[in-house]
Amino acid sequence: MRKTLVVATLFLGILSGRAQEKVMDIQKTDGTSIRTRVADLKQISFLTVDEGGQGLLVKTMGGETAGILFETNPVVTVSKGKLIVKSSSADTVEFEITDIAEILFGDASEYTGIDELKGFTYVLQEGGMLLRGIPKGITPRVYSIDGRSLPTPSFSNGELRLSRATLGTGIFIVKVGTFSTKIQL
Amino acid sequence: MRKIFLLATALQLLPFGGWGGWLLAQQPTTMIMKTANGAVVRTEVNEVEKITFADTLYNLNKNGDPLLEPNDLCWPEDRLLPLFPSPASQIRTLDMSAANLSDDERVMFCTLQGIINRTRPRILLYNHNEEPQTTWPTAHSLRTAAISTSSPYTLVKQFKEEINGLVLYSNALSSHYSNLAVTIAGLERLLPVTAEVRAKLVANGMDFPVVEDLTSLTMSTTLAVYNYLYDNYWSRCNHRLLISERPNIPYVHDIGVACGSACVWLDPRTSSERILLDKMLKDMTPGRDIVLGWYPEERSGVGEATKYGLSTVPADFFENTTVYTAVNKPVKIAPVPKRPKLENKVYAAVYISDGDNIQYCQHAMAKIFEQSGRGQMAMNWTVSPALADFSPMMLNYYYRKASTNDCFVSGPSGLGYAMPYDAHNSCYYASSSNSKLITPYTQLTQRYLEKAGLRVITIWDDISTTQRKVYADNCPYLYGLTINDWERQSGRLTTKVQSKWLPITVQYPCYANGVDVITDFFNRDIKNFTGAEPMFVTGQATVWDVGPDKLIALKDKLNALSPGNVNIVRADHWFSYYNEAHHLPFNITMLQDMVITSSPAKTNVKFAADGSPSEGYIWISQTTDGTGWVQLDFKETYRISRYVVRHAEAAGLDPGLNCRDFTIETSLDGETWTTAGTYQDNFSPVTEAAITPIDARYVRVNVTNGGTDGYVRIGDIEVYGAH
Repeated sequence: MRKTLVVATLFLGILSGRAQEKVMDIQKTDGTSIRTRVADLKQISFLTVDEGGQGLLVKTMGGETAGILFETNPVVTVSKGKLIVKSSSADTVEFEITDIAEILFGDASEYTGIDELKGFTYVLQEGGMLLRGIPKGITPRVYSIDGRSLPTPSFSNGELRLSRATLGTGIFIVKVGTFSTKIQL
Repeated sequence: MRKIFLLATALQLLPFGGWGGWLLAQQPTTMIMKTANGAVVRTEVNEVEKITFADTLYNLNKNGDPLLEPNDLCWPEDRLLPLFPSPASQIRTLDMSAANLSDDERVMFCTLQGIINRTRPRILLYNHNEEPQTTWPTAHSLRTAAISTSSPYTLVKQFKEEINGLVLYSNALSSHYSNLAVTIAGLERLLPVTAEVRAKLVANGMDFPVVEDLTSLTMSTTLAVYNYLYDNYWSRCNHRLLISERPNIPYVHDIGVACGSACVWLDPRTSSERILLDKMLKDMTPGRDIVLGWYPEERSGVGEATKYGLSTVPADFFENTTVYTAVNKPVKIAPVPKRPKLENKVYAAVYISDGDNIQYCQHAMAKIFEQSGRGQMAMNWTVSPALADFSPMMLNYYYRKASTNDCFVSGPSGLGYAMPYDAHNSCYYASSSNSKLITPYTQLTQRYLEKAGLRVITIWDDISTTQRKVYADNCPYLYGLTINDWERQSGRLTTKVQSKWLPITVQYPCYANGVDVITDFFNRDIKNFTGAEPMFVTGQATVWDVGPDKLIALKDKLNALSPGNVNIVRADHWFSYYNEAHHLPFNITMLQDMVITSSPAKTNVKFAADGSPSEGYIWISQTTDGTGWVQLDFKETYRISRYVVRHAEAAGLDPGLNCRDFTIETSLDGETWTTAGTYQDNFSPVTEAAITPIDARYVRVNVTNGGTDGYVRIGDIEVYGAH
């Protein structure tokens, strides 16, 4: 039997373009999985009663975990490479899909909840983070993990851009008014 | 007295059938994933390990669609088939018969269809041409553009960039190389061709590389060819679907190819072939996976799969699965007509056979359904519940055309043909005492009966006492079962009631080939009718000999036997009458005398209990304050033992529109009410509970928190009571 798969692949490759696409795998405890092309995904929502702090845990490549309580009725959509989470207790949280390590379900109460981010859009980007919707008159502050105040990075039109290029890598604390969060760059 | 009742109700309210209906129970979080083609995938969060994202490199076709491989298809656990992308706005069609294509060419075109449609359904092939060609494309709202039958290879040319090359085979040593080639083709994105077909491709300007050359193989027996498939490709094949199809009869090849499934034609009557088939069946999961196609012989094939808890969806001439399954809509179940009061009459039900085979539903039934006589007498049409996934629009087509005298029931013996007991050979294919064997099958059956709106199953041939209990335990949607009396058993079989609610009655005659045969068998009972109590008879006609045009004669023939005393009724009515006559619980919302009232509604009040939970037949409140009620007055007191409420999601609507907080209440006088069930934070599509029996004339569903949009929606209410 003759196998010329390489030739065939080249044959197809020449005739058509190629593109990288995201797929989402829901891995189940019984070892099975459901694969969905992100492009085919319209929405994920959760039907729940109050489960005492249970929620959606989005773990990022940088080791951060964002927790979204089920009781806030999160609705997840995907658009332009971003995972967008809307809930009843916050406007929007966005994650770059490339920055998501995995999504788990469990106790979300100890992690940064969306309710703490009320009013802001929190975008994890490759190489940094973007905080949108900062109210006029409030100047965000950035601190190192040992509490030293750092020069405020690029801040305009209500957007604070934190990048590894300017801050370096490590854990930083961002304060906007009474809101504060810990981020890892 | 009232307090005692309340306490008893609260303590003994039990979930019916193992799911739904817990009183105030905490429900685990459910993840609802909606996809672009309209599918809703429910997953329990506690069953999810994690969700990850990965980059996949796709080749793109000229439209920029990523070319999907079998592993790229989204295939939820609760579906028989994967979720395909929606069909293209225009589908290319080819009439293979008019194009005078050879069997080998048809194999190649059906394989092309599977490969191309996996990415997005774009090819529709006419192979059988029994029903008008426009019937199913129109029913699925597809826009088609025909390829000229004088140049069929234009179709290949249009999609050639999505093909990797060829798998070359020859039928010289064995015709089964065709199935081997098709299996490889699905996995490698190849076209299976003989030298002759390859030459035609070349003549049409398509010189694809030969990626796999099977012509150098020397196996000459069926077993050797499929052993080669098993040893070299089975581990790569998808095991959720096994295609059993005669070589060179390419009908379900498209779905097999699209899914990366193996295609075989093994005869279980030959021990060596049975051993190989068994190795494949063992790798499949009962209650989830199916065999699709047919077998060299019916009873040995269906029985062999049943031994492994698997059913077979007969589909030997079913075509274009990859197109029709992609039109993913909920089945629109027609309302069930109300029935008059029980009288001391003869109640007769007649079943039309062979609906288990989806190719019959696609072809012959489409013609037979147009015959004269239909609609003038109650007739019970067997159809396959599997159509809810294979082609929900096909079921919708029949529901739309059906008269109130047409009742659809499930073909043998539920979701796909299974044969727990073979009366002809007087031996059990499956272990009759092993309830575990058919439990997953009956659970799968329950889901699809509900999806398709089928309340009766025609079992083929019989089931053991253990198996009867499994059906009763796992299929609460049923009104009844029928079994076949082939007169091979010692003495006549009789109707029995399982678990004090599920009647299992006898088709006598079964598979009758003439109206006179049915009349003669029925008369064996009717001649003894005294009028002192109701009498029940059931029979089955073989559709190939007795269609509605002939069956309609039964009305006069039975009337002649006992003038004015024989009512030919729908199967759902028949079981309702039977249970009422025998003081067993039946769905009393089917009674003609029932009066429904409600709080102000946008829709007709009758939709709250019309036998259909489907969109268009849902009761919707007028106000958006989240409150509303529906009250049923049965005009007589019944001993009520069970209720079912179907919510918006049962109609395929957003789960968030299900009623969240509500109570089920009963009353003897319409003034003093007893709470039979209280539900808070419900998000199940169906609320179902068996309760401590309570006497009541009225039942009320009182909703205090409806859907997320403020409207209250009730798909359908069922109340089970007895005299």
